[in-house]
Amino acid sequence: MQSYDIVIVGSGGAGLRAAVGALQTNPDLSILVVTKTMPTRSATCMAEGGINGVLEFAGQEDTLEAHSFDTVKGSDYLGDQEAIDFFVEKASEAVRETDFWGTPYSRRDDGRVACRLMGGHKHARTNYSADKTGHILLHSNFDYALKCGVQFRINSHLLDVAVEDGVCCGVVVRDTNTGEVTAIRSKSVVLATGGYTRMFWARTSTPYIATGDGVAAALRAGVAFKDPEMVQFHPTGVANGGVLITEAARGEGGYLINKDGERFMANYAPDRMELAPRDITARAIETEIIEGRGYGEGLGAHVLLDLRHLGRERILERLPQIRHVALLFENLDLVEQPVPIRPTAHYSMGGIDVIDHEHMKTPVPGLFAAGECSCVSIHGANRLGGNSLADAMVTGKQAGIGAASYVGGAGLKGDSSLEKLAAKWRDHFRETTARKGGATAPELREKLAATLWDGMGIFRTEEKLQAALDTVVDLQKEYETAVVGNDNPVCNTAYSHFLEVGNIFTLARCALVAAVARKESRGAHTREDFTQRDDENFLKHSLVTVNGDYHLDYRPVSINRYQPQERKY
Amino acid sequence: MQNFIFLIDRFDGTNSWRQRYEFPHKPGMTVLTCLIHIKENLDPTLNFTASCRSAICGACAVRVNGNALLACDTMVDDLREQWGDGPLTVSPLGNAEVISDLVVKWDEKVNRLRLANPGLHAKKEFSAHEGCRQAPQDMQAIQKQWDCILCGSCMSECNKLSDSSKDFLEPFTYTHAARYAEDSRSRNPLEHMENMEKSGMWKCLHCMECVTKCPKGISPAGAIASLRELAFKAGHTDGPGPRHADAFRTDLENTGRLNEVKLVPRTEGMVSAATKRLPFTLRMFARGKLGPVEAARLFVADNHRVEDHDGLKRILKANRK
Repeated sequence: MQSYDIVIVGSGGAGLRAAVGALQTNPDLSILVVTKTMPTRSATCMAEGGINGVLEFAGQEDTLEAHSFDTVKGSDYLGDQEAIDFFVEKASEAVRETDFWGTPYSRRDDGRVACRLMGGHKHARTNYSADKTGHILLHSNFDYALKCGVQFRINSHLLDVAVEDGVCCGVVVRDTNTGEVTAIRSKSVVLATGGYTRMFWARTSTPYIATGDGVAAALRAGVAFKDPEMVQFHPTGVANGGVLITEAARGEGGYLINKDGERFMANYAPDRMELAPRDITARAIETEIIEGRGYGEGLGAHVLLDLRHLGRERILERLPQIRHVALLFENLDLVEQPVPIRPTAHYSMGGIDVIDHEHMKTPVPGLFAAGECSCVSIHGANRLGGNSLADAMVTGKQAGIGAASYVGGAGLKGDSSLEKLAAKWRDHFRETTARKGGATAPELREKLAATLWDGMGIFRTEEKLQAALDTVVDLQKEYETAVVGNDNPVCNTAYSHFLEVGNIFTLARCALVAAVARKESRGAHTREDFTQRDDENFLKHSLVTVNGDYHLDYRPVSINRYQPQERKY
Repeated sequence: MQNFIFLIDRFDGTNSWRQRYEFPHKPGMTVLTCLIHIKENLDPTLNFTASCRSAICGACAVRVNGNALLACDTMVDDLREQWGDGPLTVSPLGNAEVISDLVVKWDEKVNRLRLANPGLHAKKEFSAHEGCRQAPQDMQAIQKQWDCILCGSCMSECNKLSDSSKDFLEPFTYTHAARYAEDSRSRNPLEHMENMEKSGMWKCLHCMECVTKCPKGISPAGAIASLRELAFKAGHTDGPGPRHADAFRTDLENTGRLNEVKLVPRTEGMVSAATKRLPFTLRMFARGKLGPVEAARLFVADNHRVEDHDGLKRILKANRK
């Protein structure tokens, strides 16, 4: 059986940073990065805005405390304050460190890294590289990982994390190329598998691969899913599929128009109009659609983003990328036509329960988590722009350090658990691919997305959430007999997707269980039947575990500095 | 509009075949939405890779009618304008091992990328604690090469790589070397160039397929040119590659015309030219490609100067600055 000191699952920003962090702590460790795609295909590359981090220079007015407070306030006080203090300090370090490794940041005339102001921040602290910071950061981390000699196992899909006697002892993966199921023994495991927003399949800005495989594997290993109900919606995705139209479109003066040709933001934010904060704009668009002033129906319903008055020249000069997206997904030229848009699921604030922010430990010794799949929580109920790349860099590095520090006292064991899990998955392939007749994973996935959008979307009520939960339980049953349609072990991507859909079903059900019970409105979780934040009863993290049944528990939020106050901008 | 017809090159690990799929035309479909339509409605056994669907992750590059492109970023209606309404042939990227259907293997490519020594080794005045300083124009000088998404389009169509991958690397590898070699923060640009020098940098055929196929408008051939320039500046002028380039430059400076008779001895040396290339030369005589008299004349003398050679010399001089 192959053995390693550390196995890292996922090759996005957090996974790559974890690998480098571990090797910097101890270059003699044997480390393997397991990834279901070629590295660099992850959601990290889609981030545009930048990476937050307060840098020191003469005349700097911003402080770490200010970044910390903005993050706490942005989280609607569900963020853990001690962890956030640690995070902002390390975020600043991350920007300087990646600069030193070769990340080509945009520059000011004096040679300093350039930064911009993002929503919810008091100061300009979002450091950027043009409008593709995520892509640049991901590739400079990949390059640096190559420099450090990090080894990859490409096209290997995580099936399970093995735990024996309460201690993590490795992973079971499926080599997509050959179909072989392999147990890998490892003293520690870092999960860096990304978010779970693909549960909203037809309405998300995230990549096809963001199916929360690591969160689901952690659940099967007994680790709780923290704050699963917290999913951020971005107000403007293209109606067809949800790819992002960046905020720049509204920043440049774009109008949001309903079916009656009205600039409806006048009824929601008369002063700021289209430039109101993300959550207010997203709710306004959904309200227009729900009240019958949108176009189309079902998941295809939408309002329009009109840029025509800006004129061809300005659109071509300032918004070429947005024009390209509209052409690609809606087949129209926004110089001549308005583009159909609707809010889109954008980021997973919840994730694998992390109980130690310095080393990104989960409750299972030897198991660590980093990046969007993890939840300390830094982002609480709502993430601020620019904090996601910082999260990937900081939590990635800390998890790498954590795992490297842990393995000194750990041994290799757990062969029987690993073999048992591997055998289970070999049977699973045989059994599921032999099925004839039944629903397909893509069909069920579309039903799940529609159910979640209606029931656990931007506006939630007890009734809608409960109905969605009932539907998901039924769909999950249907999934138990669904067909794969391909029994060839070689590169069976239909089976891989079948596994992904199984994962998002589990995660969606967890999210619904937590959302039904959270009888308040906080951050991204907007309840029409409980419109106020309720600190007395819900200033706490939801923790869902799955053991046959779905079980909900809570843990208090760590508050050391800022007492909750009303979140006003 | 007529139905779409895709002819897809299939491979299931054992057998290869070309499969026909026909489905209704819908305006605005990309190659990727067509592939997804096929997989989810017609044939779940079809394999391909895709992730971001907005041309930034590089996962979905395939060949259509023999040309590499990003499936998510290419409208089928545009392809029809180019190729007509007939079937489109979709195949995996070239110059790569096929795992199945449109899925190719990246492991070896990633390992070869390590030869570029990617990752910055920053100048002494910089530190991980304080970061670096860089002028905006110095960042802009390398910005384009950082657009590389490792989609493999340049690799797919590289003619040198099709000839042999033993003495040439995937073009994006040279792009990676150049972006660190040209970075003003770099301590020693040569550490990114020297492996490339040993790994095919002088063997590029200048066919420019990498430039025309890059979906991000990057020029790997330009990266190769700049690495060569760096080699010259560092005094690495020996060897067939630099001598070949130098022969071109001298001819331009002397007459403006390439003296092909002298090119081989100047590149490979007299001994090699007289022995290894002799049969080839004799065949050229036999086929009438070259006259013995003309060859002898070019060998002792040189070409006539081109008209306005002084103008050319001024261009060369300006370029050297």
